[in-house]
Amino acid sequence: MTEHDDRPTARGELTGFHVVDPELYSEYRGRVVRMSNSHQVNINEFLPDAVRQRAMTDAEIAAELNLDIRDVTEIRVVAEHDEYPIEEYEASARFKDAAAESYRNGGVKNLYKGDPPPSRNPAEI
Amino acid sequence: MTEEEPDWQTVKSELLEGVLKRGAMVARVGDPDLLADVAPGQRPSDLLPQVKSMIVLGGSAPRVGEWNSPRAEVLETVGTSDRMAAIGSALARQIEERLGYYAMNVPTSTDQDDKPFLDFTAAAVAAGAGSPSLAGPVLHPEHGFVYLTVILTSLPLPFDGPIEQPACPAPSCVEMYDQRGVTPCTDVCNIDDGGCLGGQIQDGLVIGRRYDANRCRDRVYHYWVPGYQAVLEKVLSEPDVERRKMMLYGSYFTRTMWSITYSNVSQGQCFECMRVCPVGAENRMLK
Repeated sequence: MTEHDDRPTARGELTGFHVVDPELYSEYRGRVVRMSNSHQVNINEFLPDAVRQRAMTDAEIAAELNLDIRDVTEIRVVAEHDEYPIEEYEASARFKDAAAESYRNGGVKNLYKGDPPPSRNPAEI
Repeated sequence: MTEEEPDWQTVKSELLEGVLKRGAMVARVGDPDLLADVAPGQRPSDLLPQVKSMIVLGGSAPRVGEWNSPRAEVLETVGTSDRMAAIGSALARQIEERLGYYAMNVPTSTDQDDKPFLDFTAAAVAAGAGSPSLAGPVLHPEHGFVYLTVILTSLPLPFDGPIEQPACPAPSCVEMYDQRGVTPCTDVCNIDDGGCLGGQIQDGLVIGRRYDANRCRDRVYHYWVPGYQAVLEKVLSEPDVERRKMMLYGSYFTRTMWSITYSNVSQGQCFECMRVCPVGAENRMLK
């Protein structure tokens, strides 16, 4: 820990094998994900203060929701991996194949003519 | 007798010329204090309290042939961020051993809470190694997508500062947005159409950018740790021992295990928003 580290719990507590209660996870996963970095809206650094919406840290989320920071970290990490099922990986492969084929057919040359690669509707993939 | 103050501009030039010779395509110096408003724990001073400057290196993008392969699987397996990390480590060693100042090549792996050690985007933008993009990666105006590495040091090097003209949106993207309401990246991977990216362009600037980090991670780490965990969950909940065997020895899990064991070379598994990006596109075409 350094003097600049304002995280409220020590490394040993944070990195232990802490398992979040599944009921607590179900209750808070939506809120934690929305407050975290997962779904970003205007998160870019150096945007004007009135526009930028920096994601909250786990410590900030814990304070806001009155939860243990270890539970917040676990809820966030589990939810990030839990959001999409394994079928998403199959869709991912189809997406990349379609995108690569589209690029091969058009490529960046089309962009300079204002004629970009065709849109891909997942329903058509 | 007092020690003479070095010419920091000369020191900087020698260091940056060295890394450019070693293979970096971009080498800039940024002010760590510009990262004061990033999330606590991901600021330069959180990692190196003595930090006075950040050296940001970029390069090692996929080769032109890889960008142009009709098989998406090629780009899925050519992540080369480790080459930039190696150059950064060598520079940090040079600073400490030859100049006697603290230097740290920031780890590019994940921190204890599954987050990066540093806000690499903010560091790159602060140093002028590129500008933020609608797609997400920092884009260098000339080279487009590059892998990044950041060296924090107590050396008081002169800062380059952010670039004045953002690389994104490119003029052709503004033109396309005006015509169709999408850019190449938001067209190919649209957040409202099963993808990761969204946003508008107004007066030549990106506004209202939206990004689904979880979906993007599943595509970028398609055959890697997230996919491994997803299969493991299926396997552990499968009561039929023979079906468990099919899952574990099947092609998806086998491919995933190969990727994990090859480590870095298989981490960047989705480049589709960058493949269509016009920034640096002239570098992705040969005869």
